[in-house]
Amino acid sequence: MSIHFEKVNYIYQADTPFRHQALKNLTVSIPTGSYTAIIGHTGSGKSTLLQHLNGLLKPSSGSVTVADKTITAVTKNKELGELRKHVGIVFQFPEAQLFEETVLKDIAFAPKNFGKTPAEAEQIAREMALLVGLPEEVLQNSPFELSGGQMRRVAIAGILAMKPDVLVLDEPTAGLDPKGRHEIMQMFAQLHSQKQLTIVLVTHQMDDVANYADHAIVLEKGEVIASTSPQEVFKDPQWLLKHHLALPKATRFAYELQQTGKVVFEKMPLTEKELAASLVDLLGKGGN
Amino acid sequence: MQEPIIEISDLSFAYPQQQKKALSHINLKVAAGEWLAVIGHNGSGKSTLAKLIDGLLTPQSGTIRVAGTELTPTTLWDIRKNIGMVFQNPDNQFVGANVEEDVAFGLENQGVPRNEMLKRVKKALVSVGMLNFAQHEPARLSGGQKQRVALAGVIALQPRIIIMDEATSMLDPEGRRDIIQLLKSLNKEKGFTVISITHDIEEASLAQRVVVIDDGTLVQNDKPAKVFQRGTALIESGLDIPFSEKLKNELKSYRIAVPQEYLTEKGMVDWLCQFISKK
Amino acid sequence: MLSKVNFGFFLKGVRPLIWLILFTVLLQIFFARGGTVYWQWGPLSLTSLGIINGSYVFCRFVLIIFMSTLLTLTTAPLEISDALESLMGPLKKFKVPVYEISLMLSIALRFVPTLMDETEKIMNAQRSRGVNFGEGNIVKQIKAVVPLLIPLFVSSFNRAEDLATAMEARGYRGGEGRTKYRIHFWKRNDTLACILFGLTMIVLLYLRNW
Repeated sequence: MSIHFEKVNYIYQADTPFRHQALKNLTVSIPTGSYTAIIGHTGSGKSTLLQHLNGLLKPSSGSVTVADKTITAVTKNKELGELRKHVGIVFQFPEAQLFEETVLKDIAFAPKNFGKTPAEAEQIAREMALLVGLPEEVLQNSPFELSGGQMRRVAIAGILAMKPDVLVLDEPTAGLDPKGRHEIMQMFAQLHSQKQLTIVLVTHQMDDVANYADHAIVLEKGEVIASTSPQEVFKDPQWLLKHHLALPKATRFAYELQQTGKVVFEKMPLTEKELAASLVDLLGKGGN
Repeated sequence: MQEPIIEISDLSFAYPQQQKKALSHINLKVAAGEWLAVIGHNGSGKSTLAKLIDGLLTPQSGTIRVAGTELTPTTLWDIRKNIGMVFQNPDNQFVGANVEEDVAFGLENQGVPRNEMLKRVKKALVSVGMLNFAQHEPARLSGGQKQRVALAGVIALQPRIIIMDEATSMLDPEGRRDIIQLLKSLNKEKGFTVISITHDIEEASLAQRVVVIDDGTLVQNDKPAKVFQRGTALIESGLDIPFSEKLKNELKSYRIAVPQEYLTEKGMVDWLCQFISKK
Repeated sequence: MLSKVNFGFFLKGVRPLIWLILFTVLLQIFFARGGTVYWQWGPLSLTSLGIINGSYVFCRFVLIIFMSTLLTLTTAPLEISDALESLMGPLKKFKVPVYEISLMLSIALRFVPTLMDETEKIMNAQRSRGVNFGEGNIVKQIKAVVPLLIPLFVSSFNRAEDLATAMEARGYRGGEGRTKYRIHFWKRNDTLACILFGLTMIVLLYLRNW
């Protein structure tokens, strides 16, 4: 499922004094099977871009192509249903979308909407509940009785139940504690590697970009200022500073260490593991 | 320890219709002017503790003394004047129609005369850097800005204690840094006692003391360095460890002899430099 | 004019209701009986009284729309809630919680944009799960509203709970002994408006009796 934006402009409230252009002549591709991170400040156009991925918004001009479907300003709403089946979006604080009487029914909601029979939908819901690690005994409970972390899992299962080819995640770990955050991110990483799911992650957490993504798109004021590997994005601290972006912790630490003049990293490490490995390498050489 | 401003003894609490205690037998003292971090995973009971201190919940047993006065239904409102709280969701604590009116809300409640109110609102907005936004409606503010307004509302009331109940957890990194910076100056320069309830380990590392709560019990109460030394035990209780500890763990797996005690990032850089020089 | 509101805005206010007004006016004209009969066809008749009634109805409608346009354009919702509080002031003697009612109103107004935002978010989330809002037959449309309304209710209750806690923590304990930050001043224009209004009333009353 390749995704391509071609010269997309998006303007909110076009003919009013509140006119605001959120995307400016944006051309970018999200590679099939990639784990793409979208980075940028609040107001950089991230959430506008995200809503174009499954046709919640249609470009004011330009076109968005997802697989073989092309969406332009004049695409009819009826044609978008098919697209929504292929692109699942987990919104920020997705537990806000829960509404059914039981956990199982809520997870089965989307497959039913997309034409599965109730029996099939329930079967899928059971699989997905298992996949996101919900215990069997909560499936018949009301989703509103669960803890925050479990509600989040139900909501995520509800999107996975659509069996999308592309999974879009908008700050999926916001508000969770460190353990919950780690578990959820691990789960997505597994889905990515085992099911070849294309993942699009919108995040402020540079450590998540470093740990999980293989492609990064940086947005600023509605424009793409970089679309490359995380390694490339984080290789120039001056550039990041200029665009008010942070470094992953390991990279920041490596630069600090480099400032002392005692070590020079050939390749900047992005994660603790990489940092430790290159330190050991350096120490090894030092010993020779 | 000097005269404690908050003294909690043998405090237990269970939510109605729940068997399990949310907090059991908590003992804790907080010194005036101290910055205390309370950390624990979601549902550990740390927010419950904050609400108990402010009298927003009533304990089943145990006592809480704030500035020498025991918390009872009769002293409740006077005690609350000593405490300002900022909560997690920036939207759900914004009462006023715009920024200045929201800051004034607490003052109105205390029946402060209007002339005095005008002065205090202005001063509070200046101290959080939001004076230029005085007329703004909440819909036009970012999460971080709303939390700064909430802090201004607290400052205007001139309490002695500020409790941040996961007040940075819904903010983006910039908003979070902003609020933490502000808290630092309020603690250092203005002498507010700060209690920050959090699971952000970076935020906790700024505190003079860290209290770890796990499943309703207080499991540790010590300097940050000591608490962070527990490393993997922290991870097991659902928390994170500081970056330098993570790096140490990684290095350890390569059989490198790392120091036992907790090092800040700066300390870690220094140690690594020495280590490399020695080679 | 005193309010400095462009006359075009008044006409804009009338436009959406023009069919309703015309319909009512025509009903009055053709069905009212009395006075001189000019024309008659079956149940329909055109009489002098009908025409007079019709023009009255027309004037009333337009006046009501003009007045409410004027109010909403010149006065923020919050000021209206303040005005209500002060108007209901005397009711305090009868233990009506006037202050609380007005605070409730002002908080409700403050949360309107927040809830609109929330609605939009939930609609987007459910659309992504295959709900089509505003499509299909009436049964389908009603069904589509459930996944929107329940989350909205739940989140509103959560918000209300949070808000209540936050208000209590900030020392809110009812209207008694509270001072007010937002106050309104009586200006020269207010006096002018009152005099003009009074004069109009007198003239109208005089005309009526005449």
